[in-house]
Amino acid sequence: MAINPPRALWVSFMLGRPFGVPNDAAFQARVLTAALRLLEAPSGPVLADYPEDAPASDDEAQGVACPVSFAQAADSSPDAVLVREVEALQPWHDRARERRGHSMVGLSKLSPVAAALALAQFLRDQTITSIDGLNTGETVKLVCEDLRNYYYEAAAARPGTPNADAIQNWFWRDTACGQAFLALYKICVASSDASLQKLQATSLVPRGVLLETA
Amino acid sequence: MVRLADLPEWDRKNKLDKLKELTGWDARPWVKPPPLAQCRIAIVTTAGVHRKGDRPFGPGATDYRIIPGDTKATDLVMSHQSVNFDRTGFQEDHNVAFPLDRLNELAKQGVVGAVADFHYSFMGATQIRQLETKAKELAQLLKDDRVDAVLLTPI
Repeated sequence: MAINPPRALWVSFMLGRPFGVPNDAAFQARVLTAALRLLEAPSGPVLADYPEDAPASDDEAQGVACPVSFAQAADSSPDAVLVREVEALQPWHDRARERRGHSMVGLSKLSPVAAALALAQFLRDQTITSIDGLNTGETVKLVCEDLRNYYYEAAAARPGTPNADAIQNWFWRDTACGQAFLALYKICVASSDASLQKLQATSLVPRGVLLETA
Repeated sequence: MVRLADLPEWDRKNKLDKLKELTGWDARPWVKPPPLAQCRIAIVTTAGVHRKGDRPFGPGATDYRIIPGDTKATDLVMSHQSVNFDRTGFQEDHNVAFPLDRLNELAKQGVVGAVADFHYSFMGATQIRQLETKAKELAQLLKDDRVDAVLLTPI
């Protein structure tokens, strides 16, 4: 509120969902209409509380959103484990894309397996092939965005529609990719490359996860 | 907008710390628009969204991406720099952060007068003051688009 907007609507929804509930057009329309109705206020400033909460997800108790079990051979290299995990999720990601008619994966223009290999290589020797002339940190960011979107979208296709917390907990606690991101975070923290320093600050691992794993 | 009380302690502190950047906005503009049923509305978001194939936002980006009014919600992607907010809702249904379909429906129903030809997205994980130049540029573009009111959707 420090920038003094003339009209504002407070909502109780989680950060990232200002209109409350995905795939609930009526709910979203109610929030949107309430916000737009503030334009009719005769005087201001107006700061209104939206009275409706998002319905609680019915799978809060389910800790794991993973549709696939990742049996790991003891002699597997980290690269092989990551690639096998990505491949195992492909049918679930296909299902997600089919159901939604779209996917957010594609910022890096790499296939998920190619993105996994690029990440694995970076963890090994801190090199990555630049995408569109971007610097190291920006390139790594796009690769990571694609991988995380791929995993999150695949997990959401699981029967029972896991909620946001379940998907996040699964990714960061139970997947090789989540572990690779945490290893990447440590590399970025220790790096003298300013673009990797920027990446680790807010763009790699959610603060809540860092506090949990600290 | 999310209530501060609903955020975890570290994030509340993070948001409150930004107040230091925000001195000097003492004026609070108040404009009375036409009746809602005659208002032409645009969406301006800080969600870091853009069309597939547009340049992704980079760290500290201060520019905006143009989202034409006839863009299908399913053609939108997000390249916001911060990982500290939920992505799963937007992946499932873009309208949860960028309600273009809902706004078009309200226009069809006559609740709002019209929808702008162009909408805009910034990437909010940037020093807010550094967005000022582009924000002023945008204000003129919105006027040129005959927009009466702007729906701001922060993430």
